Amino acid sequence: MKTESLEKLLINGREVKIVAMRGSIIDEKYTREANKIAKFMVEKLGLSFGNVQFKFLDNEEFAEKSALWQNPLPTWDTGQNKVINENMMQYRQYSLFEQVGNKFYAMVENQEYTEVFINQNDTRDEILSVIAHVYGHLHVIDNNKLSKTLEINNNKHESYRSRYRKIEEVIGINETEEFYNLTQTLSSLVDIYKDLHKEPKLDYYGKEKDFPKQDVFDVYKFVLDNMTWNGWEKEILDMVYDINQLSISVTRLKIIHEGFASFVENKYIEEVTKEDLGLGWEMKHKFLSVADVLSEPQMPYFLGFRLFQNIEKRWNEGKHGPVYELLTDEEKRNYSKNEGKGLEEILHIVKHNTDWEFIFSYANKDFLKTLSEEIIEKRMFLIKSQVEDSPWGKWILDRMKKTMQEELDPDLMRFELLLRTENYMPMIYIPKGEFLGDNLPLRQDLSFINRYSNMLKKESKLSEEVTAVFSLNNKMTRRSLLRLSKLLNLPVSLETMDKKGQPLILYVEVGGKKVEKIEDGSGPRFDLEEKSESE
Amino acid sequence: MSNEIGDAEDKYRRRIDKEDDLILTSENIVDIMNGQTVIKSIPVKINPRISYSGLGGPGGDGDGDGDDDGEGEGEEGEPNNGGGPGGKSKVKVGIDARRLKQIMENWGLKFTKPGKKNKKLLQVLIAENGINENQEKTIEAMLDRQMATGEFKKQHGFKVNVRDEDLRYDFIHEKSIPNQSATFIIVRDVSGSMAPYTEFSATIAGLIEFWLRNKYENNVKVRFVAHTDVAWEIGTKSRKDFFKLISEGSTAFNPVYQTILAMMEGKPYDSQGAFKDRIKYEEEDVFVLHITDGDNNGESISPIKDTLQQLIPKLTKLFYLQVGLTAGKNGGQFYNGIYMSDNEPFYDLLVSLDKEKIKAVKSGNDASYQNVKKVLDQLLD
Repeated sequence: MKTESLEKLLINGREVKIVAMRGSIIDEKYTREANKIAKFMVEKLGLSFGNVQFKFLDNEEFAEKSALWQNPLPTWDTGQNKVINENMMQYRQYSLFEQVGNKFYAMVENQEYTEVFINQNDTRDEILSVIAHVYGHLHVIDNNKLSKTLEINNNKHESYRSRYRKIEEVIGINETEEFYNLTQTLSSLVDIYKDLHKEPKLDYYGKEKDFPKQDVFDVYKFVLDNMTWNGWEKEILDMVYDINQLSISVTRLKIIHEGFASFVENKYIEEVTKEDLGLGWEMKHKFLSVADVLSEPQMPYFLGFRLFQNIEKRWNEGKHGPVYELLTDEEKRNYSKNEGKGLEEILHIVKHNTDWEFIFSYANKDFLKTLSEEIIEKRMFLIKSQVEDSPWGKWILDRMKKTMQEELDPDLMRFELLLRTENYMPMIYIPKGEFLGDNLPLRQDLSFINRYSNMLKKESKLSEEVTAVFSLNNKMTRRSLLRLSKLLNLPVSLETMDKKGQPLILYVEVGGKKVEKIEDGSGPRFDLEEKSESE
Repeated sequence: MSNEIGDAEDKYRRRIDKEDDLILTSENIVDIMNGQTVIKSIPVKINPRISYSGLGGPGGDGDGDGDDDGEGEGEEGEPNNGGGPGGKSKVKVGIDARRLKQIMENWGLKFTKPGKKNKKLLQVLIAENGINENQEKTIEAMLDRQMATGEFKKQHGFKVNVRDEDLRYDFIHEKSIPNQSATFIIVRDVSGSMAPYTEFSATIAGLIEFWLRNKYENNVKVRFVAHTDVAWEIGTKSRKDFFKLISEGSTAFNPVYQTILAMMEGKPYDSQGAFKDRIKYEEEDVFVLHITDGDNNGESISPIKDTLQQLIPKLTKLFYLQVGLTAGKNGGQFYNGIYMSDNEPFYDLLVSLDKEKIKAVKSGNDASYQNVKKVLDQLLD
């Protein structure tokens, strides 16, 4: 049989190896396909990544690897993730499955590879699109400024696993699990926005007796460092803290990751369609059912893909920049300048942005307007099927449409979109100088609203819609506070607001079974200026 | 199942059965079987985390604006909202039949859908928490019995008929868990005269801590107290600096023991650390190591005696290490070249108070193996 010889794939002058494996055997067919796709990605689109090893796994293995990637410890929630993943794959809930694993070092070849898992039950067209999709992810991992700072060490996770098992053996599974669960609640106090909260330089010989000396955003680390723990407790806390660092890139680069991967995948499908119409059609059909569906779990795909396409168009036609913004609507419509800088701009965005910066600086009003129209249309379609038969149907539909159009304010919409992709956790900090050792005072920080939009400048007070979104007075938070006081053996108080924007303090005593609500305090922090004073 | 994930799946099943303060929801998976939409709900537990209430997550108070973009199957959310195809007849399969299937396959039997026939078996499989039945062994015992009595016929398939004699229970494995934990308080005199003894005292303290960690399976919390004529706690963060710390001031012992007493009773005391955790002397063992040169300037003995009498019942052991005595040529004892009498009021008081709990040693500034061994032997005998 005649086999095609593989050309060397060069990225930045360095040879890159791409292999597809089934068990311990190299799958030649897909190795060739994967190399072909990589070549397209590198030469036509300008991506860059390192060595890759694709591995075909069955449902169970895949589910296990994926669960362990989310949480490397052998705990009950890892088991839970595995069961869910496995069932989803078994019933084919979402049509594409891929998982970019960790990097590993191949001793024989003296090379570092990134593992990528692919479900072996996929059909050929699915596997091809998955491979194309994965190259997008790999590019983001290797090039994004935030992603670059986070190193994942596989060997470390292995040692964590064995340490955790040893602790379970000595302390007992139940007790270890109880403590582990409490650390998971504490995990919501890890600071994932470290770049926003840079520590100011302190005067070493300063005579201030305040403690802490500046606002502490990483409450987890503060508690870990300053409290006395048993040896095994400290070990688990350390491990969980380290594992939590992984979630930073996952939560803060969701839209860029999935959006860029979908964008690249779409480009590849267009390329395939030129040669093989049938295959291309099949791939496109499946691709659209993932990346172009407006539902909660698919939101990062949808939003990122749409926005990247929009940007490509705008930059190709030169419709950007300060001069363009000065034009009137009609002039904008007729404006055309063949720049062709779309791809270049997209690679630039992927390199230097996180999701927030991406959405706030690139999703302009026109984009949001078309998006909101689409959302309204889809919602109306659903409502229509329910109320069509009733005599009031038309009236209800008109009324609904009107209120929905009023609701969608572009400023709020950006936040809403980010919230829907679960893109931020509440920011909570210990205010400077307020910690006295016998109480944990926490306060909510909402100054990012001011940082990213001018909502506060327009009105001195937030509208009720916004306060209802950002209020922390809910069941989840109240339960978490109870658990926190149980873990720390200290009273915990949290300054926040209720859904109408009134300041509120949630307070838990040691051993308390209920959260007290005290209508007092100064509420969450809104002003950026307050911060600049402390700097 | 590989080694990596281990028994995490079993842990998950046990966790679902347990009553705790985690939030219980379910993940719905939609499938079409024989023309019917079947929703398989997998029970899921969530650790509560501090979160925004706005759009109404699971367990939230949830008065969001209720905009469900109900597109696509298998969307997360309430089953009423998930617009599955042909959504009229929905059968809800409540349990995970995976384990049942495994057992049946091991016996070379076919697994059929849970129906009337298998109802009792299902009841056994989803037995409530607290029964502690070993389900696999129960079913195996039932099959054994059916085969032995001839009740089981392969053509007719498998009949579920669990009798009382089939029920098997798990053995209760009693395992001695080192529940006991300990707190080790290192008290160090940091007055100027202690400067030469930093290395020696760090060695002794470190070795005693090592000994305790071995004894208590690592469940040892270490606290640091420094004193001159006042005493204060030092945070765990500045552990390295603790033995280098030198401060001005004379020496007094009563404040030290009063501080330790305050740490145990939850009363206010001076602290440079962040947290003031109370030492739970009722639950755990408390060890104190006091390192000083014994050079207290004329402190009267009676208040110390009162404090110690309150303190000692709450302690497990008090190690008192008096450094600075070097053996003189003529058998007399010298302290920094000045002759000291053998009768020191504080040392004698300690020795006389409680011989079981208090171990007191005098030693020179000699970090050699011989001397360290001698000191430790006397302290930890």
